[in-house]
Amino acid sequence: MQPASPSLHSQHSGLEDHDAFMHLVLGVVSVAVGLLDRLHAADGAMPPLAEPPASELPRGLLR
Amino acid sequence: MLADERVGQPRLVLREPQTLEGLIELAQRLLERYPAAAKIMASALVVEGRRFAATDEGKRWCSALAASELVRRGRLLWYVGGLDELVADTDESGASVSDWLAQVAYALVRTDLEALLNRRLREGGGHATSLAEPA
Repeated sequence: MQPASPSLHSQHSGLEDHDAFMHLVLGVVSVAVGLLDRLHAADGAMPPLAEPPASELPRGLLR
Repeated sequence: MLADERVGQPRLVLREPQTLEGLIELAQRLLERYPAAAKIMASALVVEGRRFAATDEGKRWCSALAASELVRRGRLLWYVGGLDELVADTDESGASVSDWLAQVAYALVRTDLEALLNRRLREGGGHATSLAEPA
């Protein structure tokens, strides 16, 4: 017996329409990827932090 | 190393079955206590995942995750826990988590944050731990 033809969606992505768990996992991945992209973009847009004068640093940090 | 040399040394003991059971019980308690919030969060993640699956990057992730033993086991927990019911009537046109985050990011950039926090502190509502204090 031939297996049932996969849906159009599953032919393209290998993912069944009803696989809510996989969609949820992909959602978590998407959020993480989106956050990283957003942070990278924000880092690029922010001006670099000015270096404080050496005299204001605690002595223990100055070697 | 001889057995008597190990006496008194710290040991790391992993109790995986107990850890997983504890997590399952915690998830069950959260679902029972906050069913509406759990439904909203799960639905928003499913909408996010469906949109992501339609992209090239999402398809690559989908192929990689489809072969994952971790995902297979997670799916088993999902189905046995009846969590499919949670997202059964998900509105595809609804907001995804990325939509929420975009709103938060926009508000964070556009708002006078110092003024907002100062006002909340003056009104006694600024500290998150105030929510945890007993009534």
